[in-house]
This record gives sequence, structure tokens and C-alpha cells, in this order.
Amino acid sequence: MKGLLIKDFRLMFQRKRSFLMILLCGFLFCFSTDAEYFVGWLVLIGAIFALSTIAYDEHDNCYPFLMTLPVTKKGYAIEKYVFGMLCGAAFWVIGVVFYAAAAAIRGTPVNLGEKVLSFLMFLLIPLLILDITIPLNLKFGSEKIRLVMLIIWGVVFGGTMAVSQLIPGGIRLDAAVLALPPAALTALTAAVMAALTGVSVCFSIRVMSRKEF
Amino acid sequence: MVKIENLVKNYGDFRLNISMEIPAGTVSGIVGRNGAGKSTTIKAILGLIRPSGGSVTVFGADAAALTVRDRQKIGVALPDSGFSGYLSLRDIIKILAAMYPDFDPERFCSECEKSGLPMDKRIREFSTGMKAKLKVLAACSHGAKLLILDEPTAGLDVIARREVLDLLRGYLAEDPERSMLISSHISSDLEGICDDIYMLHNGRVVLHEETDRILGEYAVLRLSAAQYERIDKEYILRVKEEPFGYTCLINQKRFYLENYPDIVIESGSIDDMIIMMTEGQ
Amino acid sequence: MKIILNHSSMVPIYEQLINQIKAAIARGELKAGSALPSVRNLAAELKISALTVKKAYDRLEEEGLLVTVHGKGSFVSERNLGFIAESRRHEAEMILSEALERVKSTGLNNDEIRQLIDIILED
Repeated sequence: MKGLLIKDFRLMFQRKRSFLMILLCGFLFCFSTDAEYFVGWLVLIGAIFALSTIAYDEHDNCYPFLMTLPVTKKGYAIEKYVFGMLCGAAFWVIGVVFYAAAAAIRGTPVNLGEKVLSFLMFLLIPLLILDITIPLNLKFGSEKIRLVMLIIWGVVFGGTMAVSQLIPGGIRLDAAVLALPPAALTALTAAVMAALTGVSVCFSIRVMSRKEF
Repeated sequence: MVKIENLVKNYGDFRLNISMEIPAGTVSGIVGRNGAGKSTTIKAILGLIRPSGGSVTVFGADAAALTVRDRQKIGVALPDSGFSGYLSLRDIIKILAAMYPDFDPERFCSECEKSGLPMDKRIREFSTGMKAKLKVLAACSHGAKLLILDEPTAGLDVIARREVLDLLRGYLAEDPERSMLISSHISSDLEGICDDIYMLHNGRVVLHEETDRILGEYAVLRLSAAQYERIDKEYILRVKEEPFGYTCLINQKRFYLENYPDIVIESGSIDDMIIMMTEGQ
Repeated sequence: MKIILNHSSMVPIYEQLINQIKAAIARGELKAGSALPSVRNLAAELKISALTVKKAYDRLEEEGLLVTVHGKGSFVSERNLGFIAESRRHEAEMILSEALERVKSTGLNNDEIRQLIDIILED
């Protein structure tokens, strides 16, 4: 799997220009008051970037050759999740740092303690995205489900915006989160995500094992 | 190292049904027309497709269940599939190093340099010849015991083909245990490197013979109708009608040379064999 | 050992190889006990299949001219230089006998034949 990770990282590095552009936009975005869901947005971008590696694999008809390398079909499927989360986590770190930096520049007092918990929730976004899109991408191919992907992205993005609008002014996400007993919330979320991820990974592995090249 | 027993694979109308074996230390060639089943056979050996029937074993284990360790001992070059074109040689070196414990980066680099492959260019900007050489070099870069090459010299000019074949000969000479299966349309490439040749036609093996037998004992006779009548037909494998009479494929050149000094006899080549086996009776 | 193969000849490659190795041994180019190139190395050099080289080596071994030590390679056998000189003499004898048979049918007597041979040899 290490080899696959190296391959995917190096493929992603090719896109560094678009990556830097996004960072720049995002950084400027941080200066707005709704800065915190920038973090969510950034991890989303991270996950999407990761997904494009599946498209790269398909594009040059790399699959047959890839499958003759020392990888198992199972390993290939799992690596996509691992890579996606690594990307998401990396972008998350960048997002949090930017948020803190922007706040410091603006001079706004920031209670990182409260924020951290809600930010951590943001980490679940890429996982969710990956859980939904990886099996679909593997089964139907990136080309065919490009439209679906666009819709999903739109829904998630729009959803985050909508949700933050619906919460009446004054009640911030972190306050809502802290209202519930944290332990229960964490446990519940963890269980749901674990189950979802489990199902998704199993499905992806099945799809890959069945595939012929 | 590779053993195929009654492999059956169905693709709609096409049906592959073959048996073949590549013992350790052997270099085997597969020839045949397009669509004869060469690539299908290779894909089955590599576990890329699942047989509809029969068995394919590599290193004694089922091809469909090749482990990571098994695959580390196999070097592959496929005609229309390879590393993503967006990668450069530097990227590939890192990837190969991570995947193959026996990868030798210095040697690989020096071989690439010798072949004129640039380190930092993306592969999609390579010429056809450079891409082909890269595939073969990559396959030979990690001490693989088994090389499986599907049309490694396709699209290459004569000089480039010779360079690729010399590369392979050198690699094989390093360790007599190394085996290779190579498929090609260019029979002359195979004549100089393969120990034996399998000829596929319509999904079946129509001929399996040692290369030097083909070159030494097989021949094509060109006969008038009268000559055809009087010669001994025992060793004629295929006959083809011609405007001037007949051409016959025989596998006992000596016999006909000695007994019929007047008839036209041409030394056997794999191309002749392909033509006669597919078009003759 | 310089081996030149004729790929268009009617003589099978492995036979050409056998003959040329024999000649090299008889000429003293390949000394007794010296090592021959490995099968694969020679095959790579001559651009022929390894099996062909192996056939040639096997045949030479059968005739007692080579010895193969497993794991080490093939070596020119020690005791056969005499054998080769012998076989060349034998070959020359056969050719001369055949030629003389045919010359006799032209009606020349032995002395005239000897004179002819001397003249030809001097050329």
C-alpha cells in the first residue's frame, strides 16, 4: 500500500497550482465572520482531491498494469480511504491553522478549546464523503458518476451553508454541540461513522475483487 | 513456473481453450493473429481475468490468488497499460522502491540514462520508443524471476527493437533460473530469444515447437502440381493452394533436401508458419 | 571464440555452432580445460535461443569434447585434442578417397595422379 500512497501523493502534487489557489481563496475567506465552516469546506476539497486519484488510475488505462504490481485488490480499495483521510486530515490542520492565524490577525479573541470539538466534527466530513463516493467510483467509474459527484458536492456544500443559516443568529455550532452530553454525542457519532465506514469499505473491497481487467 | 491446464475463457463469441507450460529457466513466445487469444492468455496468467474453466498456476499457486510476495517476483509489461502518464521517472523510482524489496535504484537510473530516458519529464511526453523501453526496464528492475511481456516491441523501429531485446537477453543471462513469456507480432524478434513458441489461433494452440526446430527442421516447399503429386506427403503439415501449384509446410527439412534436390525449399521462419497454419489445410 | 552464424543457411544453427566450436578447439583457440561461455551468455551474444546453445553443448558433451560441471559451467574436455586431430584426419581421408575414386575413372594412372596432386598443392 505504501507504493500506492506514494503514487497518489505524487499525482496530487501535480495539481499544486489549483491547490494553492484554493488555499489563497480560503485564507481570504477566513477573514469573514463565518470563517469556521471554511475548515469544513477545506476538508471537503481535500476529499475531492483524493477522489480524483481514482480518475487518474482510470484515465490512462492504468488499472490492468496497476493490478499486476505487488498490490492486492483489497489493498487498493483500502488505500483510497487511507489516502483520502490523510488528505482530509492534512487540509484540516491547514484549515485550523489558517483560522487561528486569521483570528489572530483580526485581533478577535478565540476560544480554541470550544472550537476544537466542533472542528473535530469536521474531520468526519471527508470520511462521510469517502464512504459514499469511493464505492460508487469504483463500481461505476469516475466518468459515469461525474454528475452524481457534482450533485453530492453541491448538496453537502449547500447543506452546510443552509444549516448554518437555519441556526438563528447567536447560537453558534459549538454551542449547539456542547449542549448535548459530549460523551454520548461522541460515542454515537463514532458508532455511526464506524458502521458506515465498515459497510463502505466492505462494499468497495467486494467491487474490486469482482472486477476484471 | 507457469502452468496452464485446459484454461477456458469465454467472451461472447470468442472461446479460449489452451494448455501450456513454462518451466523455470525457459523463454517462451506466443504468436498469433490479432484476436487469437494472446493477450487473454497473458491476462489469465496475471490474474487480471478469471477463467471460465481449467486452471492457471504461477509459482505453484492459483493465478487468481497471487500474493504480494508472488507479484514481487514477476515483472510485467503490457501494451496499452502502464504507470499514469502524469508521473515522471523520479516518481516511478520512488513507487517501485516502495513496492519491490529487490528494486535497485542505481542500476535502474543508469539503465534509464543509457537508454536516453529523461528523469524529470512526465511519461506522457515520452516518445513511443521511450515508453516501451521504460516498461521493459521497469519490469527488469527488481530481480523478477518471471517476466511476462505482451507486445513489448510494438510500434518500435528496428534499432529500438534490437535495444529492447538486448536488454532482455542481458537480464536473462544474469540468472539461468529466470523465465520469460513474450508475445509478439514480430516473429524475428522471437526467433532470437525464445526457446519455444506457442502459436495461437482462434483461441487454441495450433503449434508448440522448439524455436531451433522451427528454424532448423521446418521449411516451406513451393511445388508445381506435378511435383506435389510425386513427393512423399508424410511430413507435410499444411498445404496451401497457389497460382503456381502448392506451398507445403513440412517439419523434416533434411528429408526433403536429401531426397528431392530439385524442388524449391525455403528455410522455416515463424512468419511462414503462421501463414501456413492459419491459411493452409 | 569468434562464432559467426549464417541464419539463412540450410545447416541448422546448432550444427553450425557445434562445427565452429569443434574447429576452435582443434585450432587451439579453445584450450583444454578452458571455460566456455554460459549457455545464456552465449545465446545473448549470438542472439539465438538458449535452448539452441544448450543442444550444441549437450551434443559436444556426448561426443566427449565438453564437460559440464553443474553450477559451474562447461569446460573443454582435457583428453580430446587428439580425438579431434584424428577425426579431421579421418574426414580428410574420406574426402580424398571419394575424390580419388572419381579421378580414377578418368583413366589416369597413379603416378600421373600424384603429379597432379603435387602441382595443385603447390598453388
